[in-house]
Amino acid sequence: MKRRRIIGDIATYAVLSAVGISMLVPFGWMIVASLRDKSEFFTQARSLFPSGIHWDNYVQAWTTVPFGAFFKNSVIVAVCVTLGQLLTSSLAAYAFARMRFRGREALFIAYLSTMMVPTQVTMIPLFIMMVKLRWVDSYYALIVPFLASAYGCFLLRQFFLTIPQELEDAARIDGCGHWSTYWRIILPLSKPALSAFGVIAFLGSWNSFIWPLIVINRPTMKTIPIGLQSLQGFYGDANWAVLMAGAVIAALPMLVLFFLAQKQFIEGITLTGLKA
Amino acid sequence: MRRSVTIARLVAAATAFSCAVLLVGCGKPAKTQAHKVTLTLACWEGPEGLSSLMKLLDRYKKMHPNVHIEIQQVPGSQYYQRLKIQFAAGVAPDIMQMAYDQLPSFAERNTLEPLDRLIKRDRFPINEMFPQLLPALKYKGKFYGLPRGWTTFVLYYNKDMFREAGVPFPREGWTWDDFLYACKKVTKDVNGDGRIDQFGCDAPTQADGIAFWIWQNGGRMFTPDMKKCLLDSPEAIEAVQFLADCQYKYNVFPTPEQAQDLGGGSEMFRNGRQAMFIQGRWACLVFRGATYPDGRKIDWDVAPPPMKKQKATVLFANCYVLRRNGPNLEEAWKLMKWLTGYEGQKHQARTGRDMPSFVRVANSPDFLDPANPPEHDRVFLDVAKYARPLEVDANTGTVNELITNEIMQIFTAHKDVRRAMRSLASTINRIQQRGAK
Amino acid sequence: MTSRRKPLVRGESLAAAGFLAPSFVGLLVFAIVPIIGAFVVSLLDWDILTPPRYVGLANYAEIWRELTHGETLRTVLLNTIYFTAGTVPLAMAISLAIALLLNRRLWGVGAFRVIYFLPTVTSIVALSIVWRLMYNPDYGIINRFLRLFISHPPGWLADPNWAMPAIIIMSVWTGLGYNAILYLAGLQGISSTYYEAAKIDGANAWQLFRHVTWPLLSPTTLFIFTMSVISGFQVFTQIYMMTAGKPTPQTMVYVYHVYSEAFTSFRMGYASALAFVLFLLILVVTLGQLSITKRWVYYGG
Repeated sequence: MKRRRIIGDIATYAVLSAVGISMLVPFGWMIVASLRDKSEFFTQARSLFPSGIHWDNYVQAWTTVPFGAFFKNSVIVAVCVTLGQLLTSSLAAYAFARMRFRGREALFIAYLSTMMVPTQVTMIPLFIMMVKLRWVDSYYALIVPFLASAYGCFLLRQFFLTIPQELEDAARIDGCGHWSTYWRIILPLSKPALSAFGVIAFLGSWNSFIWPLIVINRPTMKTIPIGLQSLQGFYGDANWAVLMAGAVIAALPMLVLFFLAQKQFIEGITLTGLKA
Repeated sequence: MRRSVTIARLVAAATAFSCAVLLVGCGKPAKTQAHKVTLTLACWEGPEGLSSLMKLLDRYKKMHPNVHIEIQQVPGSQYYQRLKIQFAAGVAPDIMQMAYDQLPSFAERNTLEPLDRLIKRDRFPINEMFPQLLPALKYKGKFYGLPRGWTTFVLYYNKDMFREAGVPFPREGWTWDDFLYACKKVTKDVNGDGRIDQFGCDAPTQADGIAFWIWQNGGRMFTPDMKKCLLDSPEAIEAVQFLADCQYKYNVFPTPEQAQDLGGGSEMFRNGRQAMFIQGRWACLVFRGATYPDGRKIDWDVAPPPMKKQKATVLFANCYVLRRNGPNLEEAWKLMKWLTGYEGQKHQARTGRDMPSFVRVANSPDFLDPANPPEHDRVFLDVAKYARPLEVDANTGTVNELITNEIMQIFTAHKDVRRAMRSLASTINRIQQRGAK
Repeated sequence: MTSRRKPLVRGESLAAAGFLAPSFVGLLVFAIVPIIGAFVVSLLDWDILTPPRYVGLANYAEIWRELTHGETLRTVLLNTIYFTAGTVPLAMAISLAIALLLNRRLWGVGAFRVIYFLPTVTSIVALSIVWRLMYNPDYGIINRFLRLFISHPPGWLADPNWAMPAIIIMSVWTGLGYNAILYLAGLQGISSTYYEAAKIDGANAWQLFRHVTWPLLSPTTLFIFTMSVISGFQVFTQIYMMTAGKPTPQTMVYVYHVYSEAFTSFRMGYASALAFVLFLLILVVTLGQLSITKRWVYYGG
């Protein structure tokens, strides 16, 4: 019995490691390729490792396209969208979870039903809206349409419902209104849910591609994903080394953030699966 | 003006989303000072083209310190769609590159500034350009573009392979039969693995690629009024059938699989896998310094295209155009005059990539550079006598896409030429009869 | 309903309106209006540069004609189904297997969880570029590896027969960690008492899986299945970055087709009609999920 258990463990490790390696290889390959000399790609070099360390690929990637501006844009957009969604969603979630008003259930279902609409359906009218508002090539186009999230409302409402009513009643007795109950009681108690949802919102905004691709033309207004795409458009297959350096630069901030906040990331994303 | 609109929107949005929008406001760049002008210039240039353009612009900026130029580089595959989005959104660049075949489509939609008034006013020396180039710059009788440069399509050939196969070099007046003969002679299995790995030429992939052959066969793509597509005419079918035979019957063009293994037409010529290649001037840059896998330099030159019933070739012009009634129209025109005038043309000629639009520059050492291959730069100018632009109108984008797809059906899926050309012509006719939109 | 029924207070309705206003305005303007807008635009012939023309249901008629007589749209639909059918079962099977292994809670599995999660947090644009290089027929790492065993490995993205499988492999790889984590959460939600009871009855490992894990996991399975099918229908970024629909039309998928009709050909009306059809398709899938949920899924407890 014990022996079978050990064999099982070894097999488990073996399979997990094999899959783990297949997960890591592309990342490793990306880093190795980003340090090669660009000519090494075409010569069918025998060696898997670069002939020398060519940091200048990073310099070239950074200067060919304005990665600094991309980074700034991505941060501004993702932070605004995340804060906006947290605020609007938690407010609505509070109303749905804790307040009584006519039509509450119907309105809640209406909120939920907007979640079923794929973004591709709304993208054309939204684009036309941006054109009419003259928001193309501006932060507004990247931020404002995404400040409300039905999904966030739903998620946070579910969480707020689990907070004991008694805490709130006590606050009421102390003379707190809805606003201060929301701000002083509910929000502090909901930190895990808020941070989990915040992570999803941030990740979604940071990596969004098709929408910025449509509404952003100016190089200095691009976010990291479409900025990286423009680097690929610029070099095609002519300079893989710089492209890979660009990919590393683009992937790095999120990877660092992920390592710093693994728990929130995994919880946040698990949440998307369980409750929806 | 634009600024005040934005602020109005800001106020409106702030009522609903005050917090976030305020943060956004901070990110907006400050407006440039009044006497300074920021011109936006859209281009599709790749790495080399962009650095060459930057050099030219730097010289301009030295002379005009008040002008700041913001370059918007967009990859060629997305270039025109981005422009259309920008025009629709009212944020189009002041000045932009545009291939001549796209002029009608944009001009028809009132997005481009007609240049006749400006050309006349400033006496821009348009009559010193090659006259056969001028129709390519016009739509419905008005000038919309001035060329960055232009090119005729010629035949690039690998002299080593011709020598080795004992075939005389192509020259003015040689025929399709000579072409096919040369193709057959050079096509072979070099490394002896049973697979052909050296070819004569390659199949066209685009509209200009087939127009080249159809014209030589005395045919046309369209009637002169553009109402009727003539791709189903006997001349057109015969021309495309000839190319299909080269691939499927004589096996002197690579199949798509073979081409893909070897990297495609231009790559194959560059690596000494293909004896001939039909292309405009820009291929010179790619082929200079081209070597065989063993490092030997490829000895190549250019020659006039082969002929059947008549001598004919395609010309192509890359233009600069202006945004209609743009906010910086005057400054943009000034820059455009510099880029497309004698200064710009000399610069462009020296890069070796374009043919200069002015006859004088084209006949100068700036273009006829003896230090760099090809040896016979003059061929580009000689064939200009019978070169003409593709027959284009406002539907050209859609039409070209249809042609590209159908050509692919013929040369990758072995679709019957007659059937393909007939269905193509009838599809295009439906579009043409609906009229230019 | 709630146990504490309080009378409706007028002031509370007003306060609720205040709390709801920001999200309500946002969803109304940027979700509801655009849905209506999508339908309105689908009735137009419009290239956004010239004034629109009302054409009624002509765009839908064209879709129907394309489906019954044309080639493009049918190919696009088949490609999309090919992608979805290729991705979903494969991704689900592998991620379930991984989740089962991770659930053995051995020392160090936390590290694996982090590693598997890397693709999920990485921009798919960056991943697409890396995979494009890996798939390069000449110097990509995949063919270098394969050449150790076979002399002519596939051309992957450049090869009409292998382009879609290449995209599928990459997409499975990308989504693996996410699905595995969802399964893991599902597994951890299963109370150990079920297993203990089954073990007392003498069940072996396979029987445990077949009769305990699998039925109790069915809500997660169905959820992952539905979400994967929906996102399979919506695949875009990797196609845009890696093949741009080429070799035409082997990797031309639905959303890419909508995108190129709208923003390359500028046929806003036709593209909107296509998008609306997609909406209906997804609606059917979602409603299908709901009805299956009622019949098939076992909700324990």
